[in-house]
This record gives sequence, structure tokens and C-alpha cells, in this order.
Amino acid sequence: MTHVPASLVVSGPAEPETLCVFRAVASSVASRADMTLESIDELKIVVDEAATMLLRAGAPQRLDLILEPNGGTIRTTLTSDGAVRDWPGDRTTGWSWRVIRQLAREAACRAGERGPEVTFVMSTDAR
Amino acid sequence: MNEPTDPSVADDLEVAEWFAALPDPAARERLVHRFLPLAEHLASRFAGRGESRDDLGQVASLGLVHAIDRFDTERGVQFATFATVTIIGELKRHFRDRGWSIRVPRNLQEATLLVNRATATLWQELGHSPTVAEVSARTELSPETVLEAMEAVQAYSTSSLETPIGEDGTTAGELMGDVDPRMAVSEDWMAMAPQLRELPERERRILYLRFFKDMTQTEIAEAIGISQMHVSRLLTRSLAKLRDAGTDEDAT
Repeated sequence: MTHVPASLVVSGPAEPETLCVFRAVASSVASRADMTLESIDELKIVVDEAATMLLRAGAPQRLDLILEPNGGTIRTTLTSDGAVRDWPGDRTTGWSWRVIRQLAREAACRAGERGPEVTFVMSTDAR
Repeated sequence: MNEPTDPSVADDLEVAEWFAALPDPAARERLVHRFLPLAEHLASRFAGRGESRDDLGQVASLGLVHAIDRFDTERGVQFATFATVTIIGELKRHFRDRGWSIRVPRNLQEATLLVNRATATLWQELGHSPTVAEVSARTELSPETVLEAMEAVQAYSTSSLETPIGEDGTTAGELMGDVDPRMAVSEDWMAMAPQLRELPERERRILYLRFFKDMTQTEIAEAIGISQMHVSRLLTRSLAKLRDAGTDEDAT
């Protein structure tokens, strides 16, 4: 519980099963960053929603999760190698994006270098 | 002797009047309200067996409603006696029929119970959600086990607040106290995700409060009268249902 990594990257196939791994890694990093249980629950929710958005966009083969704890926050980036032509499109008016925006302190949805990307920052306190 | 002014006799008379007024919903509600403390007391006797107090309370409430529905005033048995037998029967049936929705090792079930208890206690002591380190220190479980237990909680089959528990369709959720005025839900927000309409009303309400009214899990828990952990479970489950429904739509 003492060592907090500066950043951590996890990569996996673009399949729903990968979400379990992402959730486990995210909660482990969050606990080392002294996040509360309520915040960890909500971090896992946001990871799930962001990854689901990416799984449904541009037929991806791979998903990446990047976690960057920094003081009282954790910046999380999820990217895929899916096609970006209609990303994010109207997804930023959908339910998943609403959930992400509500739970995260900051959130962005853009076309990254590799493909569709969702980035969000969560504080270690609830809300 | 049995003077009309004796409070217990007055109580008995009042209860008898309510039974006589059945199936009047108001009389039924008064009976539920009067005997809910008995149900809660009986539920507490089953604590420490791997079930949350919230879930046990709901099961006991269900038993109470069954007892009210089945009670025969002509048989000369005190309702409290009949209700006690019925509620305990319901609690025992719950332990027999329900529990973990997937196979979870016994030691992890026990860890989950410890984590749940410690979290609730720490919450009261600290006034906010504890960290994993704090729960770990309190339970003497490793941080990894605490995290594992948190994930395992999601595999626990929660008896839904929306499960009808009376012949008139009364739900456990409705028995949990008056609805907080902050919880009034408008309909237009559901246009955002049509699948929301498929969720039980109470789960929709929790989503609405969290994502449209900016209430924290703790605030929702207080407003509804259940634990934050239960809110968390319901939120996670509801969102998973919505994601699954979205996946189905994509596939078609």
C-alpha cells in the first residue's frame, strides 16, 4: 500500500473479458493512491463505461488502459486501435458519456494517435 | 386487570381494528409500520451469517407482509407470535434458497462480510467512506483481499427492492419509509437511454439521483434508508444491465 506507481499501462484484447482486468488494475492503483472505497467503486464504473464506448466503436482489436496517479487525483486514459472516422460522433450525448462526465472531475473524448480515446480525471475523494 | 386504559390492551384493540379493516391499504400499512421493529429485531438475530443487514431487513419485511396476509384473527393466536414464526421461516428460507449468485469461496465470503462490517463502522466513525488501508487495518485482511472482497460483493445476489412482496404488489422498497422529496423523478431524462425504462423503478430512481441530481452514494443511501454499499451494488448492477442492453441492440 506504500508504493504508488507514476504510471501504469495495461493492454488487452478488445473483448468484454478485458474489462475485469482493467477494473482490478484500476482499483489496485486507486487503493495505493489512498482512494476511498466509494471513489474506487466509481472509478471502476467509469472504466467500464469508457471501455464499453471504445469496444463499440470502429471494430477495435486491442484496448489500452493508462493510469497516472498524481497527488489527489488519478488520470486515466483508455484507447483502442479502432477506426476513428466517426469518433466520438454523437456518443458524447449518450448515457455512458453522461455517467463518465458525472463521476469524473474532468473527461475528454477525442481521436488519439492510435485511435479513439477517452481520458478522465478522478479525485481520491467521493464526488 | 384488563382496563381499557392499559396501553397494551389499547394496542391490541387497535391492531384488531386494523385487521378488521383489511384489505384496506391504509390499515395494512399501519400494521406493517407497527410490527416492522419486530421484523428488524428478528432479522438482526440472523446477522453475521454472510448476509447484509439490508438484505435481511428486506426478507424479514417480506415475512411480515406474508404474516399479515395469512393471519386468521379467529384462531385465538396473538399476531406477534404468528408473525415471529412466519418471519423466521422467511429468513430461514432465504438462507436456504438464496445467497451468492456465483460460486464464491467460503473464505472470500467471510472476508466480504468482515469488509462490509468494517466499512459500515468506519463510515460512522470517520464520517466518510474509508480507504482500503483503513479497512485493511481494521479487519487485519491484506489490502488485496479487501479489494477482492469489494469485487466479490457484486456477485452477491441482492434481493431487489422492487420484488413484489404482497398480494397488492407492495414492494420491499415501499416499506422502507416515505419517499424523500428530493427523490421525485421526472420522466424526460429517460429519453437519453430507452433501456432505462426496463429497469425497476427504484433502480431508475437511484440512477437519476446519482447522475442527474448530483447526489453522492452516501446521500442517496441516507435518503432511501439503505447502506451506501447497497447503493453501490444497485448502481453497478443497473449500469451493467444498461450496458448489456446496449450490446444487445448493437448486435441486432
